[in-house]
Amino acid sequence: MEVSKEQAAALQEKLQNMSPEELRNFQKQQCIFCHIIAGKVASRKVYEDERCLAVLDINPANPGHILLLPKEHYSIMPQIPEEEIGHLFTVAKHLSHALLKAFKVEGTNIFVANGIAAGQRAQHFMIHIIPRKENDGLELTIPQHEITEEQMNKIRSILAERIKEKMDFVPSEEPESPQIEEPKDSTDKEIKIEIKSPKKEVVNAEFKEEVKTYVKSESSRKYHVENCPFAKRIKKPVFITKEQAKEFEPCDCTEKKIETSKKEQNPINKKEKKEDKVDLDDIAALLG
Amino acid sequence: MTECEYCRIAEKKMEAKKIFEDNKVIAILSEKPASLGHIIVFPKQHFPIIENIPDHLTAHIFQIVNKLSIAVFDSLGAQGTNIIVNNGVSAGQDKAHFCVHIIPRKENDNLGLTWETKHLDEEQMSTIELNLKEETKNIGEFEKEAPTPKKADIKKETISGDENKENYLIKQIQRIP
Repeated sequence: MEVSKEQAAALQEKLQNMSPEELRNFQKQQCIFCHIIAGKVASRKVYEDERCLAVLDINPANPGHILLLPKEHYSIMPQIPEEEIGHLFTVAKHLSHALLKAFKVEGTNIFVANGIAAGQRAQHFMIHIIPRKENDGLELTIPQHEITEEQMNKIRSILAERIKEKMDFVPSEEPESPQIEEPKDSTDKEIKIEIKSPKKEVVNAEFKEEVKTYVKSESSRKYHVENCPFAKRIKKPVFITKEQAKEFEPCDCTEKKIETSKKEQNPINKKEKKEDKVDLDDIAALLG
Repeated sequence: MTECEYCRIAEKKMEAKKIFEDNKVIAILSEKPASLGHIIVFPKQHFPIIENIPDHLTAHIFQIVNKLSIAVFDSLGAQGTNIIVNNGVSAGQDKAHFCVHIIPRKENDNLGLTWETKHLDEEQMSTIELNLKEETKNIGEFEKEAPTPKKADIKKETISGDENKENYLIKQIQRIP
């Protein structure tokens, strides 16, 4: 069908004046897949639920090529709500599994083309699920190109900015240095374990004894909490219990510690008291 | 020590150009990209193919893929993206760890990634349809993620806890004979 220039111009104008709602409806009317979903065009349905429909591609790349379509009209993936994406790809996974079982194929490609540049031909978003066999003649291999470190870092920084904004994730500036791998030599490992074990014992021993909460130096009369800046400066720290601390003068830091410990304990106390109350009420009710 | 490259990246034993990470998924830049900005997304846990992955994780992976694909559109000026899963060696999978490729596209970039269509007659199509329907009729119940136990929000309690009320409650308890 030939379209004259005037008709094209008129259509252009009509499109521009449309509200988003109207535009969407217009696209729907033009979209062959919306017609398939509505049942106006015949198709070979292989799966359907309330949100999506899977049909066989009439021009398949391989026998069993499935198109999975959302029932709502979306042109490209970024328009689709997150929840819907999750559902679509979960169904795609099951369809891929169905292909493996039904045709004894060795693999599947799940393929999405977003935009004309990516090879999208229809206006309706779809997921291709293509069954694959060895040497089936399909050229879907992803090409590989060499790239310089510089280019990689540039792209990384551009993307990182966007991702930080959108997804609230900040990649570390420098690529994370890989952790040192454990030495393969078995003797080294044994030695390591030997070092570790006595440390643990010491920790346990401390818990068994009375808790030594405060630190003081040998000479001064003031005592501190362990993480107090003054305490860190003490060259020969002496650890003392709360009982022992009564003989000395407290530093300001000790009060802070008491406050924080109170805060921590509060909610637990509350809960216990509330539970107590319920119990008491029950008992009172029984008595009354 | 695991041999799998992606597992090693997830365990931070190997360097990678990481661009996104959460508790389940990592996204890195491809070392040998199809085009500039080629991203690979993979789950931290080792799954060979998509069939091994629980439904809720599949959904999560592709939600991340979608967001990253939007980021590619926005920031790299791509005119389109391809999202490709190669599932199985014959489908072109080269690592034993499931991954999703996001490939930014521009017009006339000659990347290929299209296919020659085959012609099947009606009978062949009908057989395929019947066989497939047999397998797809069981699809429908999707596993959901097991709810993680909620952590008690201690902070909130201290803020909402009214001290006077607290005392009142204690008094109440004390009054009960």
